[in-house]
Amino acid sequence: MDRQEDGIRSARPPAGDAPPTRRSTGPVPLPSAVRSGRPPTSAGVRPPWWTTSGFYIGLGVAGALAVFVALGRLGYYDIWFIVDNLSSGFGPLILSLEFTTYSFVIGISFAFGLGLVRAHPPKVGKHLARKGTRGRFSFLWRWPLYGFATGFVATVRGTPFLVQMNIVAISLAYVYPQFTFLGWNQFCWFGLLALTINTTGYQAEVFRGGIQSVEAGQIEGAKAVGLTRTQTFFRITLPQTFRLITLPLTNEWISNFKTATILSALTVEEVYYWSKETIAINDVHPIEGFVMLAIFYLLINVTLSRVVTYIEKVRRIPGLGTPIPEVSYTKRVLRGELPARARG
Amino acid sequence: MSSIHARGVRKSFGDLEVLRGVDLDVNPGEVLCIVGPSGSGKSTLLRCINLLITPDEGEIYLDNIALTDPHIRPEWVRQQIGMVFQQFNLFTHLSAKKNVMLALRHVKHLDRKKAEATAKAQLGRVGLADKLNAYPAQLSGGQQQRVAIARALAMDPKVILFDEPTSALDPESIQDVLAVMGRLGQEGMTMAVVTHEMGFAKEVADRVIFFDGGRVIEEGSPDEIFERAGHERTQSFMKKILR
Repeated sequence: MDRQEDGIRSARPPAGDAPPTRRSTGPVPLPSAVRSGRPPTSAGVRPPWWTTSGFYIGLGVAGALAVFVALGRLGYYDIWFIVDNLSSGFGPLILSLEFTTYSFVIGISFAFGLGLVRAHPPKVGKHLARKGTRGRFSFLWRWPLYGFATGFVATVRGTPFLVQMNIVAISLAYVYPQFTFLGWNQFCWFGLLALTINTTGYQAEVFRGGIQSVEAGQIEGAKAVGLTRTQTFFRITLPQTFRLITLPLTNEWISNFKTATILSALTVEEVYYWSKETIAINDVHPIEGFVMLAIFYLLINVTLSRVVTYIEKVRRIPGLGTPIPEVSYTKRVLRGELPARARG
Repeated sequence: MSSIHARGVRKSFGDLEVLRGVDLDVNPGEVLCIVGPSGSGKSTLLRCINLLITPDEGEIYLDNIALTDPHIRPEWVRQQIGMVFQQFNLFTHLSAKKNVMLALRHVKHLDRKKAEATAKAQLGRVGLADKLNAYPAQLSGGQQQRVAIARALAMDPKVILFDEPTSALDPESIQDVLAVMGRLGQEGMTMAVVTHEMGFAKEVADRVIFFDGGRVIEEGSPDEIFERAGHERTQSFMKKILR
């Protein structure tokens, strides 16, 4: 028997002159507003195909592919040129990844310190007021340090990377025009420095946000069992911070990866430089070069965010960090958790 | 068995005077209940006792040791005095067992085996022997609060302070937590309990303090405070709450 019909029937007032009281012990019918909603997928009831996420994802991918192929057929670009030349971009792509990752990893160590400083703004008069305590004069170094960190972050976030790069790298390259080290010329090294400075500023804010997101109750609980401030930081704050910043830090890596294209302005032969100079100008295939670039970036960034989501899921602690997204009906059918056909 | 004595404790936050000269005694092996309206400074008083808040003036003694002496490490004080919070404040990223173990390992410097044994024993004592590996988010409010009590007990404190331990719980969990606390009281633990559970206060408390406006208004046996309050303010509060 259909669930909905049953509900409607029993919701009607009983015939005859009997008082409209409900005597049966069966399920109370839901109000129609609730009943008209999508059936709960977790119960194994199959939703209409046009409501599943798989259908819409498929539609999106198919649409994008169709546009891609159609543009090729229209002569907008040469698909076979892309297929033939994609592999020539692997070298420059790896250089791009190197720039991104080196600057990101070096940046983490500095950003951690800056974020820590920024997460604990010094308070006016608080330290001097505690007579006879250790750290009474800490305002002497706390204020300048906090000021420096804040100014650094504001500058990095408030100016375009191209400008930062020109100021840092080009001025340094003027001073050291013949600098080569480990096979990289002066532009590579100073560009890496500029990129590191840039990502440090953004990462510092990620760390600050993460540290400040740890609930005050956690710190209070740690204090109450007798942990020192250092112990509290390393045993409580830091482990929770890392769970909270996984996603924003991934964002920052992706953002940094895309920012690295600007290094091409220094004639660093990374992947954007390759697509522009080699493919677009030398081979006279401008659109193909940038389409290849888009394919590279898209593949790497999508893969990375998928991997991070997966790691987050398997290493997840209940009640901390990003919640697990609901598994779609399509996926559960594919995994064999649900019957492909509706029951009944 | 230990005792706590507070003399003339004052604390203000900005212009707001929260504690206005509080004298308080928690005698050895005694269960002291502190009742009073919200915002009267009960929680601040408890936090002052284990130095989560530094009082502006006054002295607090644990047995004969002045805790307010600036040369005493607050960590040492908090190790001696357990605390249970309204919002439990369990470490979200650690399982119940590790919540209890953490301070044993890193404050008491026990080795892993001893800490684990103590944690298991304490969790068993509060009836959670089967929830050793559950994370706080997987436990009900009442279970979380019992883990918090086990965490405080594991440090073998001389006194335990309870800051409205049942205010965030559903009626059924309240009974579980109160049962654990009542058992502790019978075992002779020195306890100071800020609570709105008048039934618990009547049954378990040796002495009750009525607290309002940052001062101790009245103190006496549960009977005296709940039934024959002398002070007008106490009477009106009890009338409202014991309807």
